[in-house]
Amino acid sequence: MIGESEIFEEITHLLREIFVRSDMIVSPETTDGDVPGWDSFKHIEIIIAIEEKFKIKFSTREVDGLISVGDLVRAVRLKL
Amino acid sequence: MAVKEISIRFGLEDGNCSEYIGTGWSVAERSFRWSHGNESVLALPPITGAASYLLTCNITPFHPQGRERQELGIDINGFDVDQFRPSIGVPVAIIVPGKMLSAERKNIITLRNYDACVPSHVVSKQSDDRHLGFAWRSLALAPSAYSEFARPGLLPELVGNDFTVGEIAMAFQSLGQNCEFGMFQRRCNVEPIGLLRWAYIVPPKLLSGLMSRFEGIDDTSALSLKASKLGGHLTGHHTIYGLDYHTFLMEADVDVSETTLKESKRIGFLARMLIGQLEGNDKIFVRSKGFSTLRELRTLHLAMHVYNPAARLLYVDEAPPEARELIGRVEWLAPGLYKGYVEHFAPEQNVPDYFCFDVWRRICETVFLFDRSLH
Repeated sequence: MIGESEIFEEITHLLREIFVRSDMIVSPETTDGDVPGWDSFKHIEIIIAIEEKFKIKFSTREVDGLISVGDLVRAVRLKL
Repeated sequence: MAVKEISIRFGLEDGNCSEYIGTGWSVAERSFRWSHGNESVLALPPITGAASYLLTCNITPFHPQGRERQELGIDINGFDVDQFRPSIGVPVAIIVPGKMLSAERKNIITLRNYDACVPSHVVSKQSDDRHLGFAWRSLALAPSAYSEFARPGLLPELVGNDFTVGEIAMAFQSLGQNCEFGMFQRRCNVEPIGLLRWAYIVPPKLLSGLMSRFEGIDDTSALSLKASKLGGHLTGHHTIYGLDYHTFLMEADVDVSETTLKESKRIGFLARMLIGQLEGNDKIFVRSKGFSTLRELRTLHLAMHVYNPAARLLYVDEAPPEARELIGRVEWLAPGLYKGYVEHFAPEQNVPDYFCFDVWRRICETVFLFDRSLH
């Protein structure tokens, strides 16, 4: 089963692709406020990319709770 | 034997109306049946069990070009229930007090087709000489939470609370008039995601979207992106749901065909989120303009009830000139149905500078606090 550190690596890779920044520093605490351009539109793009990558679907309530990268990692972990 | 609710479909394909229809009906067609002549009669079985019922009808008037929409009268067991001009494409929802219905005898519904007209008289090359009223697709009568005793009343404005304006603004979700409510939320420093937050959708399309769970909204072939003449801002147009929305993207910055694909996925995702919000109990939905009568508002509210019988809808309109004291106030129309009044809506060309922030804040605060007081 895929672990949280692998999920974190995959999500970091996705974020670097989406923001087109290969040197982007990502930690579990990273939120929209830490990344220029991470607005509500980008937030949706990130969640869709994660759903496609891990072949999962989040519910509305789950999406409401996805604030930080750590939240995303934990939410994916619970779905796999 | 008395039933608790009844649902009638009039088309040939899945119709069950033959045991209910009396005089004044034409033969069934694929998905509907015309009411015909001055009166069309339905005989429903005895019905019992509720103080109040909701009568919902999916009908389309025969409406030749150049003629005013037809008027329909509804009479149940001799009681005048309603008389109005149904809009094309907008289902009808009417409250029927339980005391009008019989639990012992058949319930006779008389539909008065005041303006039934003959196609051959009003449309050239038409040989049809029936007096056509309305194309009836369905009719349902079911117990309702709406009270027959309910009367509109102003909600009190509660002074002082522990919530921030952002917390209050987040409790609401737009049902797509334009971006005015989205701008209000932005001014409150919150950015909830929402399919219709930055979108315009006409009432019939909103209702059809709610009824179909926005099926097929992620079909890329139904979405087109167009750049505005001034500035090159891309707006999205969805041909099935008539959705027009801001992408907040510039044509010069993106590959339009690649972005169309991305946007289709995005609105598909947002439709799924909206359905989740409708099914949940966290959001109060907001709509302004487009639903001009209480009946149309009830229909929208009813479409939301399919997802959640406790759904709440705040409809916002401009205060009429003779009742400016209503500005910033909220009327309670029925359980879960509110109407708030602004001084004016912002002009489409410049929403951020001209919307009434303080009035929107008062309205949302009033509904939010009242709603919380019920739970």
